[in-house]
Amino acid sequence: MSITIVTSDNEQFCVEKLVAQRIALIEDMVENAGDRPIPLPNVTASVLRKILEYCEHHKNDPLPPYDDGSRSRTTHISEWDQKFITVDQEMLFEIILAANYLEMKPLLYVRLNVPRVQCLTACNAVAGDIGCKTVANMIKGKSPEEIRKLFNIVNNFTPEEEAQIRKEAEWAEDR
Amino acid sequence: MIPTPEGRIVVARDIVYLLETVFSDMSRPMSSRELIVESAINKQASIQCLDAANNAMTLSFHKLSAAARRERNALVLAASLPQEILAQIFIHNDLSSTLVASAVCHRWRVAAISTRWLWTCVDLQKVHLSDEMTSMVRERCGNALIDIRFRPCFEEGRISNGRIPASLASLLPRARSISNVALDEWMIRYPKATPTTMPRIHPLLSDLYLEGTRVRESSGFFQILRLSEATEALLRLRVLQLHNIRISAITTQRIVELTPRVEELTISSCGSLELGYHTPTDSSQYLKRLRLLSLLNCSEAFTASFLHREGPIKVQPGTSVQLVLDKTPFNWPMERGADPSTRLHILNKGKVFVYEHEQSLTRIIHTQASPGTSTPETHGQVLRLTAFPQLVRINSRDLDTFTHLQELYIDFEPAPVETVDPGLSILFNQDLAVSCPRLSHISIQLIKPPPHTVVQNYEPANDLAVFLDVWIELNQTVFASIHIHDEIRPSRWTVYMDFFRGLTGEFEVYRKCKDRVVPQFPVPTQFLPDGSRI
Repeated sequence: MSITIVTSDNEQFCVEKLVAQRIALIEDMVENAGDRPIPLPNVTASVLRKILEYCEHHKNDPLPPYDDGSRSRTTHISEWDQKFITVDQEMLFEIILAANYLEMKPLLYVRLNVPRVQCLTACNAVAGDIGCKTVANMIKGKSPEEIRKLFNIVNNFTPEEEAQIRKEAEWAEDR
Repeated sequence: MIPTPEGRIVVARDIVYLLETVFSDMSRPMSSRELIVESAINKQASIQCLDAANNAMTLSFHKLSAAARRERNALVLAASLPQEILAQIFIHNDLSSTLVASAVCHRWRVAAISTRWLWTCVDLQKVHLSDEMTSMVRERCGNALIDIRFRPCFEEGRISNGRIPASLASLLPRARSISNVALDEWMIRYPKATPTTMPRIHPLLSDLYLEGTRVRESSGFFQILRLSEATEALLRLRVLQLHNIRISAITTQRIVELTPRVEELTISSCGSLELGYHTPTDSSQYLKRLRLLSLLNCSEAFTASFLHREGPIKVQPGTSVQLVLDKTPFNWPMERGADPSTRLHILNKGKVFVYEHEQSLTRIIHTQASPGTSTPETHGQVLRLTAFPQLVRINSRDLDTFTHLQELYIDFEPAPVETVDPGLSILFNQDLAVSCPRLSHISIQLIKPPPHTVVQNYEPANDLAVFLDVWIELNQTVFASIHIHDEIRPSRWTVYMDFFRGLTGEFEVYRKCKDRVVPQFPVPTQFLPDGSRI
């Protein structure tokens, strides 16, 4: 059985139900939608294509008996997920935002809502929070200026904030 | 919140208005002339006035500039992510990284500062905890409890008088967990340290990880905790890990007594020269996980005492027991005059998981119980044997106390060339069929083909067929389930598929070992960022 999903740029995707059900938002919508297409006004076709690729790969992943401990401060990403998330920066953040919208926490981050974890096959602990982990890896060990340069962010602190940040840096360095 | 288009218009309008105001003031020459005249009359007052004007203008420009740059950042995805996502990114790195992230841009700063649990894990080896830093961490944590990783940094001279730094001391009352407390080291360097100089443990503490140097007998450090009025805290402890300490059976028992509510006790890389055995202490009903890791760093006698039926800790049925050994104990206690019935006594207590290290299980199971010795009935239901290249040392007769064994997982790696290797037949034979009547699932992972010419024609399938024949004859029914995970190319199992499917209820052959589902020991208790715990 398959369902139809319509993206914000009006592209239609015919998706196997087993795959689509790994997306929490769609799983919730399927019952009410009947045979009608499910609209995703906040997701473009290119992003949805990537997300479906992820769902397809992980569709048979079993629910872990215990949490995988991803909440600990680890940035390990499995090999397949690593390849999957090797995309340009724009796409990386689009995936993270879309995963947030679609309530696909494994693709984004580990759920904190335990009952929800238990009822969703989408929560595959192995998949982990690859989007956030990838960004965390990118910023690890870098200075604020290096991070700004990496993500094309500009320093937009007020003078008061700047002064406070300087103080904090001194406190951290003060040995 | 990501600024809405309407919001952006309002901000842009404000910016334009401010710019107009500033530039219109500057374009009025009369104002400047009047100021100059004024300055001629009262030079000092004018200087102050001009400075003030200049400062105000600079400030206005900075604010304007910051506002314009915020608008600019709002168009960059990385700088406009929702706060909850930013927090989930920051949590993967440590506190010092969070500090760095809070200095990147306004939005990141707001996300970092407003998420309390980003500041609750303090690793003193990565973050310098000055007084100001401590205050900041306390403030940003709000009411959340703090997890502290702490190791006195003697080498860096941070601790000069044996006293705990005041900044750290102020965090301790808020500690939910303390890890890596090298109390032994502390004692060695400061033998005159009194309980009052030791960390004062707060009753909120529920997770304690103590690390020692294994240099000298350390039973004293629990004594210190007791003397330092930590008894109440110990009573509430739920997770206790002891690492790299010299420990005796008596100490172990005292620990059990002092921490009656501990749900998870881990003893890892501990050492002891103790030789005797002791009357076992019953663990409390709360103990659910006992992890004994790298015990072979201890003397064999001490290690054996844990495996002995009269070992120091007698756990309740249903407790998960994990035993991981680093190496084969060549002089297993049998040679030391231990009780001849010495066996993997822990099996009595519930599920057993043994894995990760080469040759680890072989000698333990391979004890030589004296004839006539009553064999303790075991309740181990799951056994996982992995990564031991010399299966030759395993004998199915050694499994004869596994009367409750239901699932058997084996990672099979043949012996090297010079070793005589009987292959799987050592395990899959009549003895196994007789010894384990409740066995219903076998999972075998075949990693390498036998390398030596002696068994060139050896096929594991033959051994399995022998076992199944005996099983069917004994039980008058087919064996329930066998999964083969074969990484050897080419795999020969496909030839026998029909044959084995006739002897089993379920027979599957997989080519990818990564799909194999094997029993895992429950992960250690962990805290969640939101304050709860697994």
